[in-house]
Amino acid sequence: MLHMQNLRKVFRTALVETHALRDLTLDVKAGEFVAVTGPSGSGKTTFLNIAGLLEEHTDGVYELDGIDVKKLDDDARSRLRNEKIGFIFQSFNLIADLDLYDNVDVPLRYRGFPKAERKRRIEQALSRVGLGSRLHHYPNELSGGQQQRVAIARALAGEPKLLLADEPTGNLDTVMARGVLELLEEINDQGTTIVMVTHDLELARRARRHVHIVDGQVVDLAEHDFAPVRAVERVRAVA
Amino acid sequence: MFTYYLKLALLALKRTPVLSTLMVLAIALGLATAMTSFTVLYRLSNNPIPHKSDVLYAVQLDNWDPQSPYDRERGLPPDQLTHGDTRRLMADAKGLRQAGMYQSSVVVVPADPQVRPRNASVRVTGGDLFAMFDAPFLHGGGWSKEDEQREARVAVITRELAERVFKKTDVVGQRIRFDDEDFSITGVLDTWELRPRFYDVTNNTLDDPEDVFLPFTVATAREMDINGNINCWQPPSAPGYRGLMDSECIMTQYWVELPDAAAVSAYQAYLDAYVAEQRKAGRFGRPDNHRITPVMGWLAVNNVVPDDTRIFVGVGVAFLIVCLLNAAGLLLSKFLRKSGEIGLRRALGARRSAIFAQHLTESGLIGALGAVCGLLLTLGGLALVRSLMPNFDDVARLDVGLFGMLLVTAVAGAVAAGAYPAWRACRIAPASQLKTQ
Repeated sequence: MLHMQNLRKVFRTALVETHALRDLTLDVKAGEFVAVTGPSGSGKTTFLNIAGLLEEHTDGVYELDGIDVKKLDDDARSRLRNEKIGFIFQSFNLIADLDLYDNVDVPLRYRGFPKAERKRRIEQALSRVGLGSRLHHYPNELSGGQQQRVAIARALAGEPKLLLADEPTGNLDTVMARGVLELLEEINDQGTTIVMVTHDLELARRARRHVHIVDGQVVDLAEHDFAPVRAVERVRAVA
Repeated sequence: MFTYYLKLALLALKRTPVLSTLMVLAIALGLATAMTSFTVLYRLSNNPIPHKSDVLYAVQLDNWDPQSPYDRERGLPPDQLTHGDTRRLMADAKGLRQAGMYQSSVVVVPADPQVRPRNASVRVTGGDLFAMFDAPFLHGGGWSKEDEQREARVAVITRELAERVFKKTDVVGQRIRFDDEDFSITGVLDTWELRPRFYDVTNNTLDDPEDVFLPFTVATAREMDINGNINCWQPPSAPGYRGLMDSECIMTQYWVELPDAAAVSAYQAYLDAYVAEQRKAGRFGRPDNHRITPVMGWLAVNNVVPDDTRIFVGVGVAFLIVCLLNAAGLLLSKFLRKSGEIGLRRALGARRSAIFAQHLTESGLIGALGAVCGLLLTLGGLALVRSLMPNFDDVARLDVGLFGMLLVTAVAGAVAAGAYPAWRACRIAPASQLKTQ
């Protein structure tokens, strides 16, 4: 699904050159749930932006679902982003003026689906996150957890192959965070690949795989004493 | 997608009502100022007789003082002819049609003693004027050459005068009293839109054609006064009306219809010969400076469109540009404030062109609203011009063509003003905005 090899990202200004990613190599297979952790300034966000085609890498190879993105122009990147990637942000990034229906509609509009198809997908996505009865509510009428669910519905409506989540529970309390995480796990169980950036180690442990970035490079997890606990947790959750 | 963009544009206006109102008002004010001034200019510089303006020529002869030119600055010959030259040119009749003319006035005395007599403006002229200027007759027609020769008391009147005096328009053959004489009506003119009234630039060119048209020969016989400029470079050699009519004083306008280049050449040769002949008789002491000028050239030479109107238009257009630049600045600030949403839309798959189109639609909507408000303000501005300058009563009116132009200008102007802000919006890097939203 996601193949990165010797990926480098350099931010240049007149005075300074910052290496955000240094020869980062990572493969994520279809259906995986990968947590990406790392200290502040380690390059997590840059990694996510490049993975989500929001930024271009400086050097190296990045293939998304078998497509070498370096060769794509801006329009093609937008189309690929729209068709294959769903985003979930820490601060939800819902549009306050639009009701839930129209918020979820945004990526579908750019896909060019006919009205009936959009309606079907929007209702299905909002129902899936438990907000099917609140189509015409506005974001400010919802709790933080509910807003994040709308963001997840928006990401799911386009039926992406890859879901990129940036601190998806960062702005939520424990109860709401647990609900959102369970929803992500459920989505992953249904086959969607998830890459989640977080600084929360407890959260990272619930992912199927854990990647740690330091100074723009993936480091050996054995050195960092991490052990995925998600399988155990999930058995408990199912029980 | 256009309806989607329109919906987003309406939402955006609703979200920032004060800023949006400011932008709409800026565009409306700029448009109203530019359109008010442009309307006046457009009306003033209108071709009054487009289908014939290139075959109608004003005739000028230079009978002025041999020691001093008529127009030292521009070297132009006098803008009017002497009464004597006019009579002679009309008698020679070397053009297809021709008419010497001047403005006068009469008192119209209604048959009904209960109705008060009123002044009416008169165009004293030759019978060719009606066909030459395509005067629109409602009933009847002009008078004949025979009428002119035998100085018959005949007249053409306007429908307004007919309605005022007779309460009807079909009054051909009826008699109407001017001053102390009865005239037989040969024709009634329908409403005649002739603006500017090109045939007499010495009187107000914004006025309607006169109420009454009388034969030149009859007016001369009746010694009718001239309501226009009479300029003399030497006093008449004899006193009284006859002395003035035979003097070197200029007082009449002269128009000739020349249908093609051959007719123009022939007429110029005729004028050359006439001037040479008069020179032998001791007149025309100045170097040759006689000429014929077609309608639009005549209006330009005589500054029928005042320079201050052009300056007013220039100021209006400059003000519109300032307003559009202000609107562009406000749009830019508005769009950049939405960076977060733009970044989000880009992240969700919007192409740059989609972001550009969305924001251009918003600019266009503001322009359309500006146009509607601008139209109302323009109508108000024109009403103000009319109230301040009564002469502009018919000039300061918006017509359908100008209204369409207003709409197109407003929307195009706003779209143009919004193009740069929209371009800036579509260049926003999505990644930089998503963390901060």
